[in-house]
Amino acid sequence: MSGQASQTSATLADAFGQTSQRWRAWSRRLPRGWPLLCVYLAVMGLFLFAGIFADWITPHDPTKQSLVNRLQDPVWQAEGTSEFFFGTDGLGRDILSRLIKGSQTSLLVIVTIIPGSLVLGTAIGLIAGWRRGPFDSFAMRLVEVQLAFPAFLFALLIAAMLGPSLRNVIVILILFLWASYARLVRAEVLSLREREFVLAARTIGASDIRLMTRHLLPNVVNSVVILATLNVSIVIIAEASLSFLGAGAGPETISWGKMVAEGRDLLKIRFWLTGIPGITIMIIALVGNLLGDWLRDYLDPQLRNIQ
Amino acid sequence: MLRASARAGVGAAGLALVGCGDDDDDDQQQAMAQAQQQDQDQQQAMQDQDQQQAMQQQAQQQQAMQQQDDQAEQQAMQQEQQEQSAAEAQAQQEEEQAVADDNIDYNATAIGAYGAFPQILDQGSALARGGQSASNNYHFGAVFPLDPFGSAVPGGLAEWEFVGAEALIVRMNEGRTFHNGDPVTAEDIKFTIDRLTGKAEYNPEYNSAWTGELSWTGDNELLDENTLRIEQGAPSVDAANSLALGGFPVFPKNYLEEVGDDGYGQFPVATGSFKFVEWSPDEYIKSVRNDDYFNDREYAYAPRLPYLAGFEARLIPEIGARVSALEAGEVDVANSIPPDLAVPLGETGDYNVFYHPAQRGLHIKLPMTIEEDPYNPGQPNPWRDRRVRIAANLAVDVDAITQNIMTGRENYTYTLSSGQFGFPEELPEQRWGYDPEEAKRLLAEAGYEDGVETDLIYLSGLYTNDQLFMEAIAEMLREVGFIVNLIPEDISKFLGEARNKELVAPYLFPQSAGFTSIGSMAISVDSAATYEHRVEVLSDERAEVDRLIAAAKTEFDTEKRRELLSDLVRIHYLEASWIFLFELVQTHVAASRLHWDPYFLQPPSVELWNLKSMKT
Amino acid sequence: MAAHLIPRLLQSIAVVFVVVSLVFVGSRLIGDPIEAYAARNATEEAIEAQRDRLGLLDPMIVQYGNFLWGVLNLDFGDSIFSEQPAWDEVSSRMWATVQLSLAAFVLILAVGVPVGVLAAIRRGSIPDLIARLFALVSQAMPNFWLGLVLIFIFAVQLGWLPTSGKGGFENLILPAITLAGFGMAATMRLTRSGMLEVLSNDYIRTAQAKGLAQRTVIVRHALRNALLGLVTFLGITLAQLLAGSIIVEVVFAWPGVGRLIFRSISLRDFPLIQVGVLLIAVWFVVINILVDLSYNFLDPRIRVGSDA
Repeated sequence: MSGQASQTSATLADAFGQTSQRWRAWSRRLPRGWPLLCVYLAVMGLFLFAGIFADWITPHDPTKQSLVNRLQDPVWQAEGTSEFFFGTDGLGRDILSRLIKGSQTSLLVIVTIIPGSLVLGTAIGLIAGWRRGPFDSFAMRLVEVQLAFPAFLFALLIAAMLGPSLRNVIVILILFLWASYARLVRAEVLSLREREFVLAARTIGASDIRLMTRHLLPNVVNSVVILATLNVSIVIIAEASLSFLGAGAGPETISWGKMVAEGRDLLKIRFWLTGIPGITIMIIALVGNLLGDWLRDYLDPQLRNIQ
Repeated sequence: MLRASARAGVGAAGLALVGCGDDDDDDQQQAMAQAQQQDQDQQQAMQDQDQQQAMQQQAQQQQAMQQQDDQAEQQAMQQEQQEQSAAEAQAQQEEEQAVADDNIDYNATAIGAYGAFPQILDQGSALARGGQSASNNYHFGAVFPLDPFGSAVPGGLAEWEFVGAEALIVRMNEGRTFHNGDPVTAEDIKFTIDRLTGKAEYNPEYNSAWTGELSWTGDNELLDENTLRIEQGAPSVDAANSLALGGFPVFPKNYLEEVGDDGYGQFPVATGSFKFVEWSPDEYIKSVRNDDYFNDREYAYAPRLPYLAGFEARLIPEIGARVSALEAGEVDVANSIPPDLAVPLGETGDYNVFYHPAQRGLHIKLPMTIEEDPYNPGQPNPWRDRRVRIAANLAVDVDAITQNIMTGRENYTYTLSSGQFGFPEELPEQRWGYDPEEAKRLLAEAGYEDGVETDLIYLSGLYTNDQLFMEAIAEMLREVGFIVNLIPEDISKFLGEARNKELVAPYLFPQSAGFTSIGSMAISVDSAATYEHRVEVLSDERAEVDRLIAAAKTEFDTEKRRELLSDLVRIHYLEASWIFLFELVQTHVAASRLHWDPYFLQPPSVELWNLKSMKT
Repeated sequence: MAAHLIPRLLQSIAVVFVVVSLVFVGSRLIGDPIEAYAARNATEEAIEAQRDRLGLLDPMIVQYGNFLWGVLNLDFGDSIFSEQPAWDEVSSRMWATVQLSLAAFVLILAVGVPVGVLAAIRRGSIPDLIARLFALVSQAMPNFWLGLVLIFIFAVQLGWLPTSGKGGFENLILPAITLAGFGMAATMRLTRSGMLEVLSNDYIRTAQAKGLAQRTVIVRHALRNALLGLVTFLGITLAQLLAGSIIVEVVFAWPGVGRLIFRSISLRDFPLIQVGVLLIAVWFVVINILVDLSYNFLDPRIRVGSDA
């Protein structure tokens, strides 16, 4: 990827002709692969912007129904109009507006679930892997209990008890995701703790906290970041899947996952009903993953040197 | 739960119990046509039909009372008239069929894809009824056959005779057998009724689904080996009809006692037009034509010997997957397909689309029994104000919903089930139309300028497009000032709350408009009803409603009974006791080789015995 | 080894015990099967009688005791709705689910790992790019959607495979791909990044410098170390394929245990929920023990069981 990136940057640089000399000098100070990074950041920026300002920028009221206008074709179809750019859903609501409004939900879900589960899981994994002993046993059994407890069934139990809501989805997914961080981090720490540099740090009398934060944490960041970026898509998709099972966000919440789940019956004749939110999920997940990759390449000096 | 429940094969045994459930309950009694078609012709047809019924019932009465000769003649005449009219109703249909009949492939089999399966195959059990019953109710046969209007006629397994309002005498016909070859005896009928009313000695705790339908039965005794006398504990003109309902199961006493309830639930032996072969739960149910079926294809009434040689029901919960299976040629019928998908498929010309009214009068019940507003403690319950209820009715554009979201064939419902019990003819003129401005005005007049806060509960995933039309209704209510929080609820939770009278919010209630119309109506409006918080008519009308129900239950004169019920329906509608919606129509898509000419005037389901496969 | 295994087994039993107890309590918090079970017009007495017959009137602790005693005797009670032994109901569907899960797991291993290794060795090449894009895309698709799309393309349009249901090998292909989709992509990505990390290590360079064949370096040294980080993930994946197959079972009308538990939750059919979750939990801890053992095999630096 970065090979391609530097190629692109070179081409771009050439295009600047006479200024290329100065340009090259300047661009060398930018992070590697910056043009693609700009694209990723632009997409994420758009996502953030849509999420934050959704209430002001939707062309129509996303909840406004109009039964006579239901199932309008999107603009690229013969009967589509620019009034409803992506067409309308089964209740005549504007899909573009719902898409924009839905980004708010996805944003909310991502910024709560991922940091929540990451911090919880990493902390437990670090301590368990380093201290071992009873805490380790306890934590790992807890992880096992969690992992052995089928997440979807758990979600269904909660939904049966409390009714479907976005808050339940968030809590369930944090409880579901922390364990994978904990296991991953612990496994890495177990391997690291026998390494020379850790042993060395230990011999010179570094405290546990220092060892964990300064020596172990940087070495597990890599894996954790990969997992977290994977989780961006996992979280959005899990939300969609819970909607599919009827245990997702309540009817008042607009979310991409629900749009995919709700449009699926007409998949064959109106692909865009699921296709548009589906592709949106895919783009955000994709960019999230690519951004994670880039971040890893950038952060990890070891990897940076390989070519 | 919620939406996905029906799809994931959550058969929801309980659905039957609230009289709901997706798909086609085969209660053929439901075929009793409903009225309220705005269309004049249909109105006329309805009246004819009601007359029919009235005559027939009168005939029974008279026969039972063994009145004088001149009356007996009159009765004979009426019987004749009735048969004539039934024949006429079919005449045209049969004429059309005559040509096609040569092309029928009597060796063909078919596969149908269903969205839900029963947990067990015993249609007598409460655990097997509901939407999923469509996938195996054809194994079972009732005591009497039905005419195209959905009224019982003597014949089939037995003949009947009324002894006034005291008893029903059932006389077995010769040569009728169960699937295993055993003859059907009067003792089996006795056993069936005992089992379904919890009186059978081998298991009095049997969880019967038919107690409501058989609530009229008292003691029964065998007069001789071919004759059974069933006392009418609660006199009912519907007594014979209740033994003719589609899916009503006649059980083989010997076999059942041998295998027990749980064995029977796995391998049913009955008298239906199809014979059970084998099943794999959650996967398939295989059946073959019952070649010994006693009503041949020329028989005047239904059901008859099937055209298909065999049938396999397959469980495919996802709508998209059902349609895909149909398109790939793996199944021949995809049941319960939303109109948005079914209509374009029909337009390709490669498929036949079957519509049938599910005979579910959908309406939203309003929590009128509660004194206090559950959302604003200390305030009076707004739903007790008639103006608020009228406003809610005026706010919902039912025609827009049926035209745009549903098939467009749904009738507006003024009551549970219109046709069969005295529908006041002038009611359509007094219909609450769609008038949001008036609704706003009424709300303001009632003192709710700032809106009425309320939840709106429904069981999602039971009906085609239910999520869509409930969201549309919620939005329409919001437009005029209701502050609606729509809640899709889990089946068990819903039933629990209903049973314990904890439902404090308006909820979608899919009342079966089926057989016990008086019974159903009573359950819904009778202040003595035990189930769910009743949704009653308030004020001075309350006592009147109770009186009318009590009177109608025991009124044997059909005309008088119709009048009583007519008054009841009028009061109930004009009080705006519910938000009145529409009667559901189900849509199925079939391969073009399969033809279905409905036998019933208002087919309650796609009758499997009547499905023909054409030679290609 | 045995000294390590025995406490490990005991711990695992404890895990299963906790999971099953949680389910026992959880399922009783969601209400009562009688609501869906009893007839509409059943009287209050009749309903109480049914509850009594099913033992639902006993204090929770007594019910719990009965349940545990039953488990010890391998008697899990009867399904409330089908009245068949709960164990039979679940185990008859278990095989279908296990079949599906194993098929998906084989796909994950057979596709995810080799493609990941290849992508790492040829980092930056076109195949690497394609593989990564493919992984990214398939990770970003909800599997009910993927399933419906696959049905539409391969069963309806091309007519190569059946749309749904259980039958021969060809019925297994689409559901297995759908179930494996996410795990395949994740495995590929993790293998790739693991390989890259290992390949950059000094000992690999040493090995290369020693003139060992590229293949030997990759398989004996790099892959083995890269797999270490992967084993945990694969273990979790295998365990969760079983529990996560509900959606695939719904879409492909696969008569498995996930759908059974799903329905049982809706109907509050306690015995079925309990046995179903019990089996899933046992499956999980067994795989977990195998994962731990495989660490021992793959990474001698972890001296299992002897740490302070």
